[in-house]
Order: sequence, then C-alpha cells, then structure tokens
Amino acid sequence: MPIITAKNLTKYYKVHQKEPGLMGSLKSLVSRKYYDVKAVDDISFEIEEGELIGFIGPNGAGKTTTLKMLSGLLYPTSGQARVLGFEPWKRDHKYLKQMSLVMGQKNQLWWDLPAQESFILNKEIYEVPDEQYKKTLGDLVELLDVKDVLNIQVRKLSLGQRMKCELIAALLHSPKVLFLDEPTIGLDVVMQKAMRDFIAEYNKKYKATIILTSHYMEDVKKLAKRVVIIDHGKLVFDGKLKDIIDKYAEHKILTLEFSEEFPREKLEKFGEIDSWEYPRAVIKVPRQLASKRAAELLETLPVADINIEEPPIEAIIRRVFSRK
Amino acid sequence: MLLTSYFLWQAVFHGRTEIFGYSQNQMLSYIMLVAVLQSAVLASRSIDLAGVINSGELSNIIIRPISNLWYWLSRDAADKALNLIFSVVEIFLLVILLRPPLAWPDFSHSAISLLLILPLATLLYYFINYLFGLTGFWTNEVWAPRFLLMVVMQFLAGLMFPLDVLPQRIQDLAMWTPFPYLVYFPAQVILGKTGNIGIINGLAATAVWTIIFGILVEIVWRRGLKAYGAEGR
Repeated sequence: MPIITAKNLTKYYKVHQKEPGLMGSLKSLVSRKYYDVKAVDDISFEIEEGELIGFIGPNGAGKTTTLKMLSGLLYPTSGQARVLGFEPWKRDHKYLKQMSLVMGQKNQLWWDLPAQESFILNKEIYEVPDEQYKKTLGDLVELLDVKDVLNIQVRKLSLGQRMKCELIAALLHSPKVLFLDEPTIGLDVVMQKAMRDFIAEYNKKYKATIILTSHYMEDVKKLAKRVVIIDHGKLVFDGKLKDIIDKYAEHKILTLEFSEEFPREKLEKFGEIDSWEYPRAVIKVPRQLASKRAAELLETLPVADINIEEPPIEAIIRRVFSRK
Repeated sequence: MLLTSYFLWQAVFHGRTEIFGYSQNQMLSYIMLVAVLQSAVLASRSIDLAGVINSGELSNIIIRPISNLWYWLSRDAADKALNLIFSVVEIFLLVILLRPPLAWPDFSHSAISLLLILPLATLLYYFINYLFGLTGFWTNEVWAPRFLLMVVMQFLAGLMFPLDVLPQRIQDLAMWTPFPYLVYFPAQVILGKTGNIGIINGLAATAVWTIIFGILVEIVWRRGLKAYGAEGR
C-alpha cells in the first residue's frame, strides 16, 4: 500500500493585480481584478514506503505548494491526498507526530536560544520518551558532526551549522515521512555533500519515506532513484531518473580523439559538431544511430580514441522545461 | 499612563470631596486597581498573531502537533506573569512615594467568586484579541480594526474611569457589550460595589460572552486555515 497518494491535487491562488503608483492604488481600491494562479494543476502520484523521491521543476513550478499541501499547511482547491492514511490538511496530531517538513530557506529553531533548547522543546511537543530522545539526538549529532555548536545561540551559527541543527530538530521524533524543501540551498559544496550523505543514510537507516526538492541536480542524481518533474503546476514526468534520459535525450555524445589532422567537413557528415580542437572533437549524433556512426567513424577517419556518452542530465531537464 | 490618570483625578478632586458618587480615595483606589487588573487581564503577547499569520510564520506552529490557541494562551500567561510582577512593583513604589489616600478594599466576601471572575475575564479578552488576530488570514491591514478596538475598550472597559460615572442609560447599554466584564466588573467586585446578585449576574454575562467568543474563534480559525496561503515559506 502506498504511503503517500495524491489524486488530482490542485491549488489555485487568487491574486489581484495592481497598477504602479498612487492612481493604481486607488483604482485597485474601487475595482479589483482577481485572477487565478494555477500553482498546482491536477497532479496525481503514489509513493511507497521507504522511497526517496526527487521533486524537480523550475522556480514557481509548484513544488513547494505541493509539499505544503502534503504536510497539511494548505488546503487544496480540489483533489485528494492521503499520507500515512491521514488527510494532511485535517492536521490530525497523530499525523503531525509522524512527519516533518524542512524548508531550507526558513528556520523553526528559536533564534535567540541555543539549538539544544529548541530540541528539548520539540522533545516535549512530540512527546519523545527520554531514552529515545537521548539515543536519536546522539545519533544525529554524530552523523552531522555538530557536537560543538549545540550550546551556542542559533543566531551566531553559520548557515551550514544552522541547517544541520534544523534537520536535527525536524528529525528528533523520528518521522516516518519527511519533506525536504531545498535542504542544500546556500550551502557550500562540502556541506552539500555532507547533507546528501546524511539524507541517504537516514533514508536507509530509518526506512523513512522522503520527498526532496532541489535546484541542484547533483542532489537528485545522488539521492533519488525516482523523480517527479513538474512545470507550471503540471506533472511532466514521473519515473526512474534513467528513463528521463531514454525518453527525452535525442542524442548521444561522442568524444573523439584523432591521430592526424583532416578538414572539418569530413567530420560534419557524421553529426552536429559541438567542439573541434585538434586532436579532440565532440559531436552529437542521433541516439539510434550512435553505434553505427561510431563504427563508420572508426573506419573512415584516423580515430585514436572514442567515447560514447549520454548527455548530462541537467541538459536534458533543461530541454524538458523549455519544450513548451 | 497610571501617573497621568492619577494626577488627572487628583486635580479634578481638588477642593471637592465627592464626584459622581466617588470620594477621592475611592477613585484613586479604582485607578490603581485597574492598573493591576489591566496587566493581569489585558496585557498580551497574542497581539502578534496577525503579524505571524501574515508573514507565514504560522506554518511553524501549525506544522507541529500543538494547538495554536493554547500556544498563544501559554505565551500570554508567561507574559502576564512578568507584567503582573512589574505593575505590583510600580504601584507599591507609587503608594510609598505619593502616599495617596486609599480605600483598602475588603473583598473577603467575594474572594471565591473572584477566583472564577478573573480567569474568565482573562479568557474573554484572550478570545476577543485572538479573533482580531485571525483577521490576518484575510488582510494585511490588521492595525486599523485593532486601533478601533483599543479606543472602544479604553472607554467601555472602564480603563479611564469607572463606568458608573456615566448617565444610567449609557451605562445600561455598555453592560450589554462584552467590554465592561474585562476590567470594570472585576474591579467593582473587588471594591465591594456589587451585591451578591450583581456578582452572579456579571459572572453569568462574562461566561456567556466567553462562550460566544470561544465559538466564534473556532469558526473563524477553521475558515482562516482554508484561506491560509503559507506565504513566504
């Protein structure tokens, strides 16, 4: 049975337009034009226990809105969702105790208190037994390596340290379902990797079901086997990361190294040239023809080395988004 | 505030022994008492609620298994404990420095009813205040209605002067609103100006208003959550 189901989930925001300036303000007082923004438009998916899903899409695609509905912050305009058997926006405390939402850009820790105090508050709120609290906190502190900063005021922490403490606060009650919205935003490369390793580890160790959104493809590539892509509120793709490549990549990339120079025209008939700088050349060839073209190349040109690759996932996703 | 009305009334009483049926020391006692009651009943953290809803910070509260209503009530309670201590100290200093003629109330007969009246009045104000805070779900302009509330309250809750200095008809009208039961009524009980029947009537009115506002709060809260946009998060 799936842990998370969304069926025709839809959220429209009503917004009104205002022309600039004082006249615009007066005008909007008298007659206000409202229009609907379709933040999430008829999205359906199912997620099984223990899955780690990458949720991707450009800014304003509706990722965060979907997470907010699944975590119970927002009522949908229409459609249904079930998480752990609960309707999220009813905000049943039994549900809230089993899930957590972490937003990279916002904090739930008390700004003026050391992180440790926020942890204790959360322990009480989520009614975590003493033994379990000590053990979980110990594990998390070790995994994230933040022993030294627990007693420092949160406002004095660096972004990376704070983010780690945010994660600990969100995980103290060992949630079965975890929504991570841009957990690596603004972090440096080293910290991003630490965060990624931790999320993977947590997913494995606690069998937690995780939905992760991120702008960094690296996060998704490293963590998620399955991705859900949304754009303009609509679901564009739902499946294995590898299948995106099969579905959307029209080319393969051939990297060649030659042993002697020859005119550029000779190479052009094999495919589109991306770069050409003797002795190296990179060309794009249609997927189905890749091996055939490679064989032809080897026969007709002085090839010293050849390498066939899939195009980078970033490029494919960029193409998915710009197709409309 | 306290000093202003203290000196104002002292000036008004200059050369007179009684105004509106109040002697000078009775009036000064009322003013002092209202200052203490205000900090117990009115002072409030929950005025931040509208701002918290507007900024989307509310998400942090409703994402956790806690009740927003109790969350703010407990913050209020903590805040009030502090305010109460300070206002008692303030009044103590005033009494020592100015040595005003005070009529020390004897409320031994109403002590038990006060144990009911004061928490109920506190809860009533909390609900009224909370209701105004909930407007934050629909509009960013939450200060105008709140300002109006403050003005009406200054007058009808008896914060500036006891309501029984007003003409009887206005008094009667005022008693049909919830405001007198916040401060004026408890003050009158403490000062021994209400008979037993008055206490029971007032207590019943306080209870009815508290229930009405409690229900309103619940209804508006549910509607509000449906309109909530969880902005900025």
